[in-house]
Amino acid sequence: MSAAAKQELEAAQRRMLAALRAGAEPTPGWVVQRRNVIFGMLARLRREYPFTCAALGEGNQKYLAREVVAELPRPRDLPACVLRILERERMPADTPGLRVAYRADRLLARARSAWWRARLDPSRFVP
Amino acid sequence: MTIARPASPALGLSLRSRWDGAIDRAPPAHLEVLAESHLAPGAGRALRRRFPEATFHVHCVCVDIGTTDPPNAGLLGGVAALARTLEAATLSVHLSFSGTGGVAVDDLLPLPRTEATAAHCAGRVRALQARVDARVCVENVSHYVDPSPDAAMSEADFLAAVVERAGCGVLLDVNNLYVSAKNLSRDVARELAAVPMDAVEVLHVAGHEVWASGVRVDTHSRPPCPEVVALARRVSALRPVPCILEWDRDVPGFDEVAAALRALESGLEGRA
Repeated sequence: MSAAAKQELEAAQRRMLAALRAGAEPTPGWVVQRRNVIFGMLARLRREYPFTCAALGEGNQKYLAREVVAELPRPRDLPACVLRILERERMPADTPGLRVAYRADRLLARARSAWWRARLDPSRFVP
Repeated sequence: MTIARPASPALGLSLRSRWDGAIDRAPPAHLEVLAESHLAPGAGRALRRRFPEATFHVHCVCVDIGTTDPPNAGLLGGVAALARTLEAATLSVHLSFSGTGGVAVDDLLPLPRTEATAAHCAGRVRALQARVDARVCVENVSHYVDPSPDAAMSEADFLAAVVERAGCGVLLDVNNLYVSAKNLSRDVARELAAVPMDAVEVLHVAGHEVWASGVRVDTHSRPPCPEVVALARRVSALRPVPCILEWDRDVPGFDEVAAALRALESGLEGRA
């Protein structure tokens, strides 16, 4: 692939990701596509942050997934992104166990990391 | 309860943990496994022991063919090992992208349909085939938006262009073909006619939902609709390859899925 063609493809892909992040396209197809991306992120958060999600409850989990998609982090930035949103939103402010739950999830992730690093990028793992 | 096993050797199911136990007692002839769920040490051998008579199909959901980011070497190594252990009949990936520039989303996004993109994807598929030392099948994904509405190529034309350049096979998802054609107001028969049928090695069927806006959403949450079964029957008549049923949301018990497989079998034989 020529450098120009590669740049063109990357630009097209970035435009699509930006539109999904912003939710700027109100047509039904884009709504479905954005919903699918958020649904995928929600599933990933439930898988990688089970204690945090349990502490958040259903509605806040969905809010968190929408906010993470809006930031579209690089795969390895996900923990920082989740923490930033939790702190920014104090989600939910009346859940005293949330910080404990998040720490438990990070410990869980570190326990898995040695095995995962040897095999694949865990942030791309979809069961 | 006794669960009648579908008689047709061409039918299969994409394995889900919800059916553990029940499916072990009456497995279909063909079993598809999601590669990324079975990369742990010994996972492939365990599957082989569980289903000694099954023909396995390895289906990847994280191998990104459309991105320009570097391939994940660890993931590809794991997939190759799993396919070897299972002696997989097919190894498949999606003709889509899931991110660029290190940014990733958890979805299979449609690619711009250009000759340059087809050449790029074909190159990635050729490299993957060399890595796994096997022919790879590419799967058409469901479309809700058209990334290149002015393109001269249809989706099936794009698929054919990749297949021709890569010398790969096709996992034809009949439900995706139908959903995409309906969502983008294309002619289903025209799309089907453009599929490189000689390269089709396996079929996917699944159920989809229709939103109030009229958009069809590939939810894998119910049995395939009659139109999709009819399409699968047309393809099977041209190309008798294994047909795999997928179910990912609102996953029912195995008895209900086995009943859906039997109904699918009847539909493929024109008895439904």
